[in-house]
Amino acid sequence: MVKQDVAVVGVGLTKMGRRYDSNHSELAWEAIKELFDKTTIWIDDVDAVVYGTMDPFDGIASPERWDSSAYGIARGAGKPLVKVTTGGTTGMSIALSAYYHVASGLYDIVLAVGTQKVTEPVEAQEVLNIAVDPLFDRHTGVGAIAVGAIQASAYYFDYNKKIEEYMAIVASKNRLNALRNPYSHLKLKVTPEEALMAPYLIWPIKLLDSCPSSDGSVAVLMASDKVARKIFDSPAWVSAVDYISDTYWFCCNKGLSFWNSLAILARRLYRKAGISDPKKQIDVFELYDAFTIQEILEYEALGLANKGEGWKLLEEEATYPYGDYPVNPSGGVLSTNPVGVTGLWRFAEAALQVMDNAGAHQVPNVDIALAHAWGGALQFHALALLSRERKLC
Amino acid sequence: MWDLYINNELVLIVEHHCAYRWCFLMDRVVILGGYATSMTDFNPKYQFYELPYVSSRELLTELGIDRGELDFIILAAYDHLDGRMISNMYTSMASGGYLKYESRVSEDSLYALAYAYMKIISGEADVGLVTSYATRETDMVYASNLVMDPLYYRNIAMNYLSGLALQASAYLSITKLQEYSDLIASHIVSQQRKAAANNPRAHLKKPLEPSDVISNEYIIWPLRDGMYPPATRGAVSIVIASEEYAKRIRTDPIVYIDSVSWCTDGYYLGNKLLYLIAPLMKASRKAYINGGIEDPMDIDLFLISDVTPFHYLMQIEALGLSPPGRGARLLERGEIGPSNTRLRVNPDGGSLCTDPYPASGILKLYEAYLQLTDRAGPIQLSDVDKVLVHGFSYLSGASSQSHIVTVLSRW
Amino acid sequence: MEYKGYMIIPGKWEIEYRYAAGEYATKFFKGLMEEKIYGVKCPSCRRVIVPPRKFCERCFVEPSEWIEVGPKGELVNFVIVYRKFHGLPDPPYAIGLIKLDGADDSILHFISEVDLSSPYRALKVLKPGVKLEAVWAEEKKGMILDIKYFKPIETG
Ligand SMILES: [Zn+2]
Repeated sequence: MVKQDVAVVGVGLTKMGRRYDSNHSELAWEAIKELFDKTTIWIDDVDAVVYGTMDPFDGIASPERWDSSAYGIARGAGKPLVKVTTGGTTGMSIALSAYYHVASGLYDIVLAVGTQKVTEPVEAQEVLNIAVDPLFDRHTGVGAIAVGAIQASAYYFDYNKKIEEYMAIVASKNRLNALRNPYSHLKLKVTPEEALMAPYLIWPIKLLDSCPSSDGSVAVLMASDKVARKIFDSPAWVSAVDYISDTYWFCCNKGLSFWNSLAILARRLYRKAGISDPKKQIDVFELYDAFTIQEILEYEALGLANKGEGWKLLEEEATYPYGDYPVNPSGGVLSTNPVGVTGLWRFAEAALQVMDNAGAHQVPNVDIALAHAWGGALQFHALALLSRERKLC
Repeated sequence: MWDLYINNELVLIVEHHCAYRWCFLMDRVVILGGYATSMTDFNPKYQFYELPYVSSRELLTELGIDRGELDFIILAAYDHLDGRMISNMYTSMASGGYLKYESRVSEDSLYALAYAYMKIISGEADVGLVTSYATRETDMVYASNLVMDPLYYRNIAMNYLSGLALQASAYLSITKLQEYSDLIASHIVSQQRKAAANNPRAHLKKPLEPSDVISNEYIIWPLRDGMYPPATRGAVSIVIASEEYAKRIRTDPIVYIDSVSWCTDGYYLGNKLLYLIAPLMKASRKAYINGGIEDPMDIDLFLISDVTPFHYLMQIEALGLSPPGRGARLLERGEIGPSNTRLRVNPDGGSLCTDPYPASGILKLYEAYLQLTDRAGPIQLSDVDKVLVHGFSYLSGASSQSHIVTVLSRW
Repeated sequence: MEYKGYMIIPGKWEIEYRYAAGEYATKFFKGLMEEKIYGVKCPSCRRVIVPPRKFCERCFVEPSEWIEVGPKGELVNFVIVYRKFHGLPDPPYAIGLIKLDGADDSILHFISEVDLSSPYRALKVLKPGVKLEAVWAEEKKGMILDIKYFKPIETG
C-alpha cells in the first residue's frame, strides 16, 4: 500500500527520428508543448520534475540543466528537479522515480521527462563501447549489438536453429505496427522474407533485427489520487512498478537464452499487483525489443510462452495487434530508439493504451497494460503495470 | 525569515499548501548508520567499483545487516567522472545490488538519499542502502566543461570552477566587498582548515593561516588556490530504514530524517541573480516547514557545501541565518564558526577540506549522524539535537544551482 | 555541415582517464605478463571468478584464494561482427565468452584463426563447447590484450 495512488494524466511526445532540425533543449520543449496543449493545467502547476538521459549519447554530460528551461525550471525561484540515469532502463527509471515522488506523498503533480539525441554521436556503437569495462572487456569493441547477438547465438544453440526466421517475423511485425504510429522513426513496409535477406551486422543479428538510432523527447505527467481525475477524467493508474539489477559479469548462469532476471522481476511484479495469469489479465505489452531476439526472450520471461517456445507465439500470430497478447502495437524499440527515453516512451504508450488515447494503433478494450525496459549488460529490468481501475484487486 | 523582493519580483515563494504535509511526520525515516572510507588523494589501490564495495561491505558488517535484507540500493554517480558509461552496471553489484531494486541519480548524493527517503515513506520499502564515491580518475574541471551545452557555453570554456567564481564575483560586487575579498575568503579558508586539522576523517589536514591563503595564486579570480574543494577520493554508504524496522534492530539513539527538500533553477546565466542562491532559499524554507522548524536559528548545527568561501556566506544567507549580503558581519562579530559560536557551521572542515564529489552530500550526512549519536570523536560538539545538511550538485550546469537540504534530529 | 537548411556543428569528447586497477586486477595483469591467468575463488559459493574481482556480488564477501586457470578453455558463446563501426576494429572478427579451465565465470575476448568470411563457414568450427586456447601477444604491456586472442585447439 503506497501513501498516495499514482496515475498518468497526460503524455507529450515528439516526432522521433533524425531531428537535426532542433537542438537538445528545443526538442525537450516540443514534447512539453504537446503535453500542456492537451491538458487543463500549466507548467507552473507542476510540483517537481524528474529527468533522465543516457549520458554520453548527447555529447552533453548533464543535458537536464540546459533543457530545464523547457520544464519551467527557470520560472520564479526554480523547482525540484532530479536527474536519474541507469542505461537502457533510464526511461523507466524516470517513471519509477516520478512514481515514488507522488507515492511518497511529497508531491502531487510530477513531470517525468527525458530527451535524448542518439543521432548526434557519429557512431552510437562506439559510444556504447565506453560502457564496458575498460580493463577487461573494452578492447573487444563490444557494444549493444554484440550483446543482442550473444543472446541470439545462445538461443540458436540452446533451443532453435531456425530462430533467425522467427526473428525476421518480429522485425516485420513491429515495423508494420510502426506505420500506424505517427511518432515513430522508421517507416518500413517490410516482410519477414525481406528481413531474413538483410546483411549481417553481428552474426546472428542482421540489419533489420536491430533498432535504429533516434532522437526524441517524451514527457509524462503523473498525479496523485487527489488531483488525477481533475486533470484527466480517465487516467491510467500505475498499479505496480519494480526494478531488478542483475550482475554485469557474464557468469555462466546469467542466462543468455532465457532472461532469468526478467523472469524473477515479472514474478515479483505480478505478485505485488495480484496478477495470477498474465496471459489472461494483461491486455497489451509494450516491451523493450532493441533486437528481435529480445522480444522472443521477453515472451518467455514474462510468462506468455514456455521456455524455449516463445517463437511459437509468432507462428500463431498471437502477438500481432489483433492477437491474444498484442506486443508493441506502437512499433516498439525496433522502429524507434531514443535510448535513454525509450523506456519512458514504453511507459507512455502503455498509459495511452489504457487511456484509450493511442490513436491509430489503439488496441480495443485495454484494461491493463505492461511496460518494460532493459539496460546495462543485459542486467537491468524495469516493469510497470498500468490499469484503468484504481485498484486492481 | 526573509521575504525577498527584487525587481518587484517575488523571488521566494513558499507554497502555502506545504503546511498540510505535517501529517507525513507520522511515519518517519531513520538513519541506521553510515560508513566512509578514508578520504585521500587519487590512489590506484582500488578499482573504481571496489571503492563503493568497501564502504557498503564495512557498513553492512558494522550494522549486522545481511545484504539479503536490503530492499533497494540508490547510487549517486556521474558517468563522465567514472569514465564508464552506465557506471552503475558495476557499482550496483558493488553496493550489494545483486537482484535488487536499484537506481542512480547523477546529482550530489543527497539526491540519492531523497530517492531512498521517498521509497521508504511511500510504504513500499523498509530498508535501503545509499552509496556514492569519487575516484578522481579524471580531471573534474574539463569534465565539467562537457556538462555545458555544446552551442553556447562549452566553447567559452565554462566549467564548474568558473561558474562558482562567477557567483563569487557577483556576490562581491553586489555587496561592495571586492576590497575585502581576500580578507574574508582567507579567514574562512583558514578557519575551516584549522577545523579539519582536528578531524581524523578529513582529507586536507594541514592547518593554514590566512596569510598562507592570500599568498596563493589566483586560479580564477576571485578564487585563489585553496579556495575551492580538493580532489578527494573516497566512498560513503548510508543505510536508512523505516522507524519500525529500526526499532526492531536498534535500541541506541535514533537519528530521524525530519524532511528533505530540493530545488533547481534555470540554466542560462544571463537572467538569474548569481549572488542570490534562490533555490537554496526555496528548498530550505520547505525543509523548515516540513520539518516543523519555526526559526532556523533553532538548528544546532549546519553542515553546508561551502565549495568556496564566498559560497559559505551566500549559503548562510540563503538559509535565512543572516540578512542577504550581511554574512560577513557574522564572521566579523565571531558569531559563526566551526564550534564555540552561536551558529555552528562545518566543524568537520567542510567541502573546502574534504570533497569526494558527488559523495559530498552523504559524507556530510554521515558527519551529522556521528554528531547526533555522540560519535564524532575530537570534533564532537555538545548539545546537538537538530542538524541541517546541505548538498549542492555543483557539477551539473553552469553556476546551476541545484540545492538539497535535509534536516535530521535525534530522538 | 547542413541538413535541410539547419546547421550541424561538429564536436567531440576526448576525456583522459587514469583507470585505477586495484589489487585484484593488478595481480591479474601482472600474471598476464608472465603468461599466467589468475582467478579468485569465492569462499562462500566456491565459484572461481575470472577476471578476478574484489567481491562476489552474490555472497558479498571478498575472495582471497588465488587460482591459476586456463590458458585453455571452452567457448560459452560468441558473435561475429560484419559491420565496420567507427572507432572499433575492422570486421570480420569474433567476440566470445570463454570459460577457462578451472573457472566458473567467463572471460570476454576475441576469437581468431577461424574462417569468419561467412557465418556458415565460421559455424563449422565455432560452437558452444569448442576448446580454445590463449594466444599471447609478443610484447606484454600489463593489459587484457596481453592475451592477443583465443584460437580453437586443433583436434586429431
Ligand atoms: Zn560467492
